[in-house]
Amino acid sequence: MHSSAPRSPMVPVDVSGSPVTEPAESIDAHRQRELKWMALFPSVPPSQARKNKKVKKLLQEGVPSSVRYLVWCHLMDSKARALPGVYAKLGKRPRVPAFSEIEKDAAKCFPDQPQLHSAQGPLVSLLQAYLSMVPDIQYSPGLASVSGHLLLLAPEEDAFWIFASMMDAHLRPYFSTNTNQVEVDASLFSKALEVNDPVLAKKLYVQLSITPASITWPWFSALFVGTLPTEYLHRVWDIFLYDGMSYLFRIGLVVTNCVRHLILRAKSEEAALEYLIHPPLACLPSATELFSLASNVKLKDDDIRKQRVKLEQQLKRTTQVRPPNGISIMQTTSISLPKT
Amino acid sequence: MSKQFQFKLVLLGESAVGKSSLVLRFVKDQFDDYRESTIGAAFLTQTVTLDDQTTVKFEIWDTAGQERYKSLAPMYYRNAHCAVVVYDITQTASLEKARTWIRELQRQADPSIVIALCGNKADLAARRQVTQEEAKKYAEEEGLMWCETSAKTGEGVVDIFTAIAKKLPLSAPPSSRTGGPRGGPSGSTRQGVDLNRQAASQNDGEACNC
Repeated sequence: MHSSAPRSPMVPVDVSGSPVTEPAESIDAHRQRELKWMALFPSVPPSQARKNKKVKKLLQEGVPSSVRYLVWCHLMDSKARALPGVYAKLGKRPRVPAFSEIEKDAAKCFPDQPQLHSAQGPLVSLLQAYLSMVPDIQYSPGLASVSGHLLLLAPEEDAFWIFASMMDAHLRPYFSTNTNQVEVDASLFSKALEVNDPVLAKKLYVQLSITPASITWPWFSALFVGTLPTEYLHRVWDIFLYDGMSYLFRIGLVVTNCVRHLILRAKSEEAALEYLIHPPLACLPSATELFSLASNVKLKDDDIRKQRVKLEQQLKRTTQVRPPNGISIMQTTSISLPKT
Repeated sequence: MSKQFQFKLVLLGESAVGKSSLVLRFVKDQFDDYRESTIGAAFLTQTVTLDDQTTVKFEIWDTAGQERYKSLAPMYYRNAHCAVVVYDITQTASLEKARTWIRELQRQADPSIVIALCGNKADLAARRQVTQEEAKKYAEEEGLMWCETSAKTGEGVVDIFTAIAKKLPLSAPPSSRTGGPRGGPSGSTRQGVDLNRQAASQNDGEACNC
C-alpha cells in the first residue's frame, strides 16, 4: 500500500487553488474576506485560533489564496516553531537517502509546476531539510505532494515550518515504521462507514476483503492529494487544520458515498480501490456541496478523537509486550536539529 | 457628504527596485537606506483624500520581487483593482522585468485593472539607464499610467497613488458594483497618462454622484 503514488493535480493548474476566473461580483467578497483575516490575526492569538468560533466561521466562508498560508501558519502556530536560521542550516546537510526519489516525485506529482522540479528547487530542499531533521520518517510520495502544495501557496521557509507543524500534529504516524496509528485510523474509518452505510461497508470489507488501511492510507497520508482536485483540496485542508483528523474521516465518507454506485458493481479489490483513491471527477459534487455533505456526515468527532488515542495506547501496550521480532520495530522519535 | 471607497492595490516588480520603500514612504512617510528583502508579501493600508473630500482607502499588497516568489504573485494580483509595476531607472533590466509583469497582468488579472508603471529611484538620475522618453512611450503604447518617483526623497510618491485613486471607478461604491466591467468611464478607457504633467486634471468631476 505504501507504493500508491498520488496522481498529479488534474484540474488546469491554478496555483492558488481558487477557480481561475471569478465572477466580478465576488471580487469584493473576496477582498472583504482578505480584510477579515488580516484583521483577525492580531486579535486572535495562534494558541487560541483552533478554539475560536469566528475562525471556524471564516474558514467555512472560504479562505482567499492570498492569506491562506498565513491562516495555516496561524492555525498550526508554526511561527512559534520556526527557529531562525535552522532551515538554511538543514539545507547544508548531506543528502538524505530518499533524495533522488524526491526529485523524481517532484516532477511526477507537479508536472505543470517546473519551478518545483529541480534538485535545487524548493520542494526537494524542503523535504531534504525535513528528512534530515526527522530521520525516523519513512519517505513516501505523499510527502512530496503535501509539501508541494504548501509551496504553491507559501514562501519556502514558511512552507517548511507549516509542513513540520502539520507532520507533528497529525501526519508523522503515517510515515513511521510503526503502523499503529495507521491501523487505528483504518479500523475507526471502517466502523464509521459501517454506521453510515452498512451495505457498502460489507461490500468493501467483506465481499472484496479490502484491508481497511489500503483505503485510508493513500487518502490520509497525502491529505487527499490525487483524490480531490486542487480547488477542493486546499479547502479541505483549511478545515482539517482546525478540526484535526476527524475531518479527514468526514471527507473520506463523502468520497466513498460519491462512488458508491461504482463500488457496488465493482468486481475486484483493485477496481474498488481505484474508484476510492481516484474517484472519477464526474462523480464528485461541487466543492461547496462536498463541504456541506462533509459537515452533515453522521460522525461524532469527539469520539474519533478519544478513540484514536485510546486504541493507539492499547496497541502500543500489546506491541511493547512482545519482544522485537526479526524486523526492527525500534521507534526513534528523535529530532535532529543543527547546533546553533 | 464625503464618500469612502476601498480598492485593492498590488505592487509588482523586480527585486530591489524599491517597492517596499515606496509603500513605506506612502504609508508612513519614512525611508530606510537598508531594507531586508520582502518575503512572500506584506499587507498595509493607506487612505488618500481627493479634492472633493472623497476618500480612497488602498489595501496594499506589497509582493516580494525575488524570482523564487514569482509563482506566488497571482494570489495577490488576482482580484486587485490596480497594480503599480515598479522599475529602477538606473537598471535597464528592471524595465524589462516590468514589461514581463505588465504582460502577465494583461493576460491574467482582472481585465479592468488599472496599471501604473513607476520608475523609482529618481534621486539617482545621474546613474540613469532608462530614459523618461523610453518608459513613457512604452506606457502610452500599452495604455498605462506612468511616472517617476523617489521613495528616498518622497518625490512623486503620493502623486502616483492619488492619480490611481482618481483613475479608479468612483462613480459607485465598490460594494454595490455587480457583474460586468467595472463602472466608471475612466476605468474602462485605457489611455496613456503622463502623471508628471497632468496628474491633477483627470476625472475630478466624476467622483461625486451625490
